[in-house]
Amino acid sequence: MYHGIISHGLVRPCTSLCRRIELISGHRSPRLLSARPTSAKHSSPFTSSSERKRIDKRDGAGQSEEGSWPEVCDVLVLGGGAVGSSVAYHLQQRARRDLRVVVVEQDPAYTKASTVLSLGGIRQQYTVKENIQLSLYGADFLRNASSLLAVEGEEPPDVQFRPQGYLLLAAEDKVELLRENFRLQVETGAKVQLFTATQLKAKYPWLNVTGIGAGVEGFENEGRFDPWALLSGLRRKATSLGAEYVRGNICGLSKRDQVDGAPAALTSAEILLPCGARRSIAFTRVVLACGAWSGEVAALAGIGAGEGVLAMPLHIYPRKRYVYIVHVPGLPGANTPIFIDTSGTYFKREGLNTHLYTVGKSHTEEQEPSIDDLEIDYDFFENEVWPVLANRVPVFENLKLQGAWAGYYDYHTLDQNPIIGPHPVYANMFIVTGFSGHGAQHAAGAGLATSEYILEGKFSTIDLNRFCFERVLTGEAVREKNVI
Amino acid sequence: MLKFMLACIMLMPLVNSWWAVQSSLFILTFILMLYCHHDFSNYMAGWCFNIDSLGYILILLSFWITALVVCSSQKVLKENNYPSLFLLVNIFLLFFLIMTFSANDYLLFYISFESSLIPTLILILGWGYQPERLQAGVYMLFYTLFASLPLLVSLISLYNMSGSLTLGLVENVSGAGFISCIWYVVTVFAFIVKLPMFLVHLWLPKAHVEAPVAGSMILAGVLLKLGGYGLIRVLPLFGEANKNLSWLWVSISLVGGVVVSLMCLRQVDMKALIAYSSVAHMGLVLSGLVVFGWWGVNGAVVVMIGHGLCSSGLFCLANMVYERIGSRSLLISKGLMNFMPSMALWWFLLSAGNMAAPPTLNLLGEISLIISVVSWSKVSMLSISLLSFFSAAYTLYMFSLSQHGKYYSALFSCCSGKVREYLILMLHWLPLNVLILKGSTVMFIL
Repeated sequence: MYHGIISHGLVRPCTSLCRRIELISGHRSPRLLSARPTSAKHSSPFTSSSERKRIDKRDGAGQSEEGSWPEVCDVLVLGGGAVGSSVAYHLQQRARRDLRVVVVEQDPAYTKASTVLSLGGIRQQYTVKENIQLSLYGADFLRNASSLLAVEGEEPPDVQFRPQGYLLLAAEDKVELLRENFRLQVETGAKVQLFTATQLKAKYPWLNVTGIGAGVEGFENEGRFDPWALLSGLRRKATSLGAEYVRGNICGLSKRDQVDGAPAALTSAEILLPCGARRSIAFTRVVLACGAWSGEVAALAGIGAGEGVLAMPLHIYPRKRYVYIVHVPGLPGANTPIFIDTSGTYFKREGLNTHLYTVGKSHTEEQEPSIDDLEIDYDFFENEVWPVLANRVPVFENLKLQGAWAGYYDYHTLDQNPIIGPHPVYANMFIVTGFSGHGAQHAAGAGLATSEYILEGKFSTIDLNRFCFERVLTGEAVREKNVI
Repeated sequence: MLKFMLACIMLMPLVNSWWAVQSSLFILTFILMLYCHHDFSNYMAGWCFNIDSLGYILILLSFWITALVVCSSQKVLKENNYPSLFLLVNIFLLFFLIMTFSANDYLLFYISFESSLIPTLILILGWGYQPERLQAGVYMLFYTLFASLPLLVSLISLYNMSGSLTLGLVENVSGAGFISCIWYVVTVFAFIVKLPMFLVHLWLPKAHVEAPVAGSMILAGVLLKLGGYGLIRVLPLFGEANKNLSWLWVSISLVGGVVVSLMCLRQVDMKALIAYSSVAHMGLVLSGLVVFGWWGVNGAVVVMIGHGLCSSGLFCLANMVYERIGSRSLLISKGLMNFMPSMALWWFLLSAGNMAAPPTLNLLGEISLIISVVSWSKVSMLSISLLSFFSAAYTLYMFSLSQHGKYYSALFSCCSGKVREYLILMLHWLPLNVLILKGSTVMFIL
């Protein structure tokens, strides 16, 4: 617990920042623990008996019992974070009991998962059209999450979607680029507005607009949400529709070479259970959604250690990012957008009247910290983040650092955009990872796209063909023009 | 008939060589075919075995299907999944089936009828794929056993009454009094469950889906016909009682057939769809049988043979898809015409057989059955029309969903079919479509 004390190390007593804020500021929210299912067991008479049994059987972590190990399944999802759970949810939603989906997750408390360590922001101001569309779908999903993810007999989940626009600034020489991006965003359907520097100064007097040419602010489909609530809502709904969550680490992926009429494919996964036993699950399709550890898991299948196409590994690595919490009185409350500076430094308001902000910045290649642990580097804050913020918003000079935490990005070194598509050689493996910081907000859209691809063979709603694996082989990177 | 049984027993020491057993089974089938010109109504008569035309055609079907089963279970050999034990179990099953169909004595028939369950159970438990096969095996075993124990009591009572259980020497159970009706129900119930009739059909989808391809083919091809065969042997003893109570079986099986056909339209698992379609077909067979007219019984036999070939072929096809794609779910393995266009030909031909399109044996049988049941009661026209309509509906649904449409574009290529697979499917389809040209091989056999 921290009350103005700077503490080193991983300080994460609760899993959601909102709850943290409430504990600090002292007032309780009416729905403090929205993630846990309530004890209400009322179920309608039209619930099928197997679904009722499933609802009753589930505990908080939703683990399957020892005696009912799923030896065979139709789709195996590796990784139970936001993306993996979204894939499971969308698949089960389309196919109900007709498809057997099993999700393997190494840690049901999600201590290291990027989803719960993320800030939970959703923005639509990307420069790649597919990312904008994913965000638009994601915002729509978040708005309707309470009804989409409601499970019979339990309280509907509350993802606490708090709409708030993002304000992206551009330096004077980048104004043309910003205008181009703005046009693309408006064409795709994003709700954004362009402001010149003078308009920005008039709207936000606390902003120092020297060196700024223009800024784009969103007025809809952007904001904050609770990623833990989203994750647990997705997981609970997927489980109630028939998906099975299994706890274990993936220690092997066996394959079948192209022989005798059947194409090369992955056939089964070997899972190391927490008790030490090894079990295997045979599958028809496998979805790789392991987030920051996707590169390691892909290597288990021999991706990166073969010949030809198999020599190309999955260039997705964990990268540590810090988030600092600061207390700054003097800025207006609700009217503060989620602010992203030209250098990539950002700050986000927490709560309405708490004067707390989360700030951070992406590292350059040379500054990348080691990923061995989730220790926080406060010098980075002192040297890189604070000066930039203080320059841009003078009030930030008098901030007080309250705390910090660190999490992993699933960083795709090619172009920081995800790989969404099947692997060229092992065609039954669908890769959906490498979101490099946008996983939580794009999880819903990525899950929908994956379920469409698996069940229909193509993307119907959002065309994500540009995110295919083949672009890694041809080098056609799909880069954002400004990257956070 | 002993010569074929001895040949079967002599195959057992040869199980170490897959090819010896495989070719011997085909050779035995062809030799058995030499006897198709039967001059007398009972021939190859021995002390406890003899054959009449009905037994002959079913023994021929058993040999044929077993040969095709061994041919299509090549995976067992390749993966070295206890191939010799597998062959041994299949040969035992064949042996018991021959004994059942050629038994001259009701008790011998009963014993071999029950014994055929054990190799089937071993097949399901030993070579099936999913953990659910435990429950499937238990369902199959206990449904059939529970229903056939009363049959044993009934047979012993028949022995008490007649002094003999030899086929043809047992006295008819006269009248339609209370005891006669109970006796009748007790006797036929075993076969009703085996066929199966609608309300006691629950074992069939489970057993068919969880069994390996060998188990499914034998189950659909021959074991269900044991029920029909038993009914034909037993019904002549209960003339009056049958006339009084046949309405019960006809109604349940016809209405149940319609219900099951509707359930077929909801299935996603290919094998479950084919299993439920078996229930619908056997519903029609049962109705025709218990009506016990000339048309009815002959039609039932023809549909039994045709359905045996057709369903067995469809299970074979489903297995070929499963071996390539790894899933039987129609949601995942669809658009198959894009990969395996030649296999689509066999899908089409066997699906056409399933919906009794001309010129298949199923058509001949179904028309005969329709004639017999409608002549018995015009009201049945309603359910028979729905049954025929929906059998076409779900067959087309299965064909179209699995073959047409867009495929999961990640699967770039797939072997379109090996010669062995074409051979198996051809051998299923050829008798089905060609025998209608000489229907007297299967029809008018009593």
